[in-house]
Amino acid sequence: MITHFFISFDAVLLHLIRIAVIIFILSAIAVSSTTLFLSWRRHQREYRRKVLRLKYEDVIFGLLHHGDMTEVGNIKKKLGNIEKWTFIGILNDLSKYFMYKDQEKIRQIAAVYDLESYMLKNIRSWYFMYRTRALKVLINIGCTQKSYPTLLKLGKSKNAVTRLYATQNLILYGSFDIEKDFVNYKYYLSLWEQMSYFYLFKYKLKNVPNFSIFLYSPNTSIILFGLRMMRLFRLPLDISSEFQEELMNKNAQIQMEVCRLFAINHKSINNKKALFTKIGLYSIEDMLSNYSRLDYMTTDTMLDIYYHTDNLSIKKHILICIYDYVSGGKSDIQYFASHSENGDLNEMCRNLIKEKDGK
Amino acid sequence: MESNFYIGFWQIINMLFLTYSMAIVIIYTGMSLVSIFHLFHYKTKNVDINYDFLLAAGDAAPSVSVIASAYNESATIIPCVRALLNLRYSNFDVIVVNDGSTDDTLEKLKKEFQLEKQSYIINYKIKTRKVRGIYRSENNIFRNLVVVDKENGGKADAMNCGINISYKFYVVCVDVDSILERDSLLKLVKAIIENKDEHVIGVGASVHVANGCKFENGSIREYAVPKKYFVGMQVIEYLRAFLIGRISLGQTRSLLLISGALGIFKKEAMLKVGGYLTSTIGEDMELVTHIQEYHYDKKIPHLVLYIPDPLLWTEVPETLQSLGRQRTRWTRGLIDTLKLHKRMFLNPKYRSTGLLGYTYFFFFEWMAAIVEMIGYIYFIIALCLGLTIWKTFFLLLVFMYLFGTTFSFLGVFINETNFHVYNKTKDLMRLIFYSLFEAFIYHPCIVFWSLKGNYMYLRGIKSWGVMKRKGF
Repeated sequence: MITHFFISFDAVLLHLIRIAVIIFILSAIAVSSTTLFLSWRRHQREYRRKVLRLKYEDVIFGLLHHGDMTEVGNIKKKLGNIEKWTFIGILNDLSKYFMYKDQEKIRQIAAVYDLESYMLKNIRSWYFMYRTRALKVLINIGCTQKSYPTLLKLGKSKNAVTRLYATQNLILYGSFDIEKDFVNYKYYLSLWEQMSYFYLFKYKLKNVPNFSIFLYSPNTSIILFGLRMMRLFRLPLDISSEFQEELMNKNAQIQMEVCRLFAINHKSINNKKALFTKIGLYSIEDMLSNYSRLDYMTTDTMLDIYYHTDNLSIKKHILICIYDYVSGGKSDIQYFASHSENGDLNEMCRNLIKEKDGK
Repeated sequence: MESNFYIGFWQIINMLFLTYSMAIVIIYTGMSLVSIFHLFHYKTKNVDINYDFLLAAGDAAPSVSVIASAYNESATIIPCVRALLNLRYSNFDVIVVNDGSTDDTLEKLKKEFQLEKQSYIINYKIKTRKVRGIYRSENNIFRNLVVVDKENGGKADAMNCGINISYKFYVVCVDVDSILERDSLLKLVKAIIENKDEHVIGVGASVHVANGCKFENGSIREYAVPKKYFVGMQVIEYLRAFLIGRISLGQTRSLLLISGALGIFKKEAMLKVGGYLTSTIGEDMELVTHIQEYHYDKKIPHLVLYIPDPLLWTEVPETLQSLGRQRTRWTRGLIDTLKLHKRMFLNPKYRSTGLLGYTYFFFFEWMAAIVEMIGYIYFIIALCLGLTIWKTFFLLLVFMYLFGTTFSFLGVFINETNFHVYNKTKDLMRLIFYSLFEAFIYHPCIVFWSLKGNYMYLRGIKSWGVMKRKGF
């Protein structure tokens, strides 16, 4: 009985393996030949694009070089029908180097071929890649009333990438009020998105928005966004000590950003005790290391923080920072170590000097 | 009756092999599908991405320390450090730890970058061997370079020393014998900051083979597939491992390994687990496994990610001897990590990391060579005894060969369609050729070294061995 079962099983197995072998021979041939075919096709396409790009660049650069944008309509006469994505690629690259005042030139060139309508068609595509790419292009070539309803809808998309680029378009179009609409923004803004907006504010907008209003948002990511933007644009932080305390008690990230902003503004943190409540030990140490490397940090400012903590690990780290980074800190630590006064500062400095040459 | 027993016995063994083979086929097919799907999504999401956002952000971009340990790396040290200093990022420094080199590594560094010894106190958050000196450059161009000279303590000890010196929030660990793509920091950091609430504690990326490529001033001028058989085979292996294996493990949140050659970590997470474990030779895998275990134990939300971009080019062994040493070391490191964190095995507390990641490494990374060896012995015995089942077994072998070859082809296919690394058709043809012949000489060698690694582990041998560098 068992023998019979196994023999018939063996036969079935052999048969199945034979089928699998054939399938895998076919798939091996298919995968390798597809790879070669796709590689060949890519090379062909790249070569064609390279030739077209040179041709388009010649005309576009010529126009930009002479600077007479009244002749923009001649582009169509010279180039005729274009391969749109190659043409857009050039405009996209150019927009990286064109500040807000020169953006108009790019828009004029794009308008010759009504690239906005073409982008709008792509934005409505089911394929995410086309949509994202088109939204990014639209930031550079500019949008008009006809794109507005679609952008407004996508500005509320569940997808963060779509939302980001749609909102950026709306900002440039002028329908998104940065100061008002961001305060009430209900979505989480990742650091990547914040950096992306920073780039837009810096290179595409004429005026720097008032970011301090973001600090009053119920959305913590918007508060962080506001603090970061204020730091990057070197804006002064003018808030009451009560509001400062309220911010310091929100979360560790906000606490750290407030501290950084204070450092930029050469101001002292009122509530130093709060500094050690929310942030993890290692983050505090890193923050102190960064702090102490700022040009205007002195031994006294660092010691001020030293006296506000009972944590020996942080105290030790502050002294190391003074020694390693603060200007004149080395001699200060040596002075504290040799000065025979009571208290932990003297003892800790002496131990540090002993540790100087490694454990 | 006796003959019934024999047939039954052989058939049961056959069934076991068949089950294992089928499990491999199913797992790897699943992994391939996950990878292809993720790559499609990744490519779509990052189309025409502008990394200038991060460059423009200055010190608002997350701060990063790039740490490279060097032990007798005289041949490669200068172009490698230059490549690190040339990385495109706005907020980073480079810490090179000279791990007690006996050659002129330190002297070369001092001369090339005009280094001067400086007085520093180190906060030994992780205990390491004694630091002999810290050097910084007098030249402002190299102001973000720090060179640490310390007593020899191994790679893990050197990396820990670099972590102690770093004052940045993130740490990128690299092998000094490798060349990083100029945008690698931007891509790694993007993966961290596009996620919510800074939950990402580690990100790995694809590592490719640098042998055969042409270099200029610390960067790659021309990508090419190496002509040597054993080096070319490693290209296939890397493509398969990184573009299929790691991507799928990363996507299923079950990554236990971020290559020691390139990985970014939240420094706080590293410090919490005491940095790299110095007593193991598989320190890179141990670190990631330990970090995952720690965060699950403490119920801290975390993410370990993997990005498919080829960001690092590493010099792989060119001689059989060096390759053998490297592979036995990898096996010993794997066993050590699996043993150290055995409580994760099939433990639902560790979610997919314990249920999928650990299980995968146990059954298909560690046990694969052992099962394969037993299979060969079994096949020879069956052949000697004149048993009919050898036909089934032979066909099974052919099937596994074809599956392996298809899988390798898939690695080449994914690489070509997504990253276009190798531009010449002859390079592609070479890769296809290597894929076809990998099973014949190269694969048995790998199995042998893996078994040797098991044997060495049992004997308690923990040496790293020497790898001769040709340099870039």
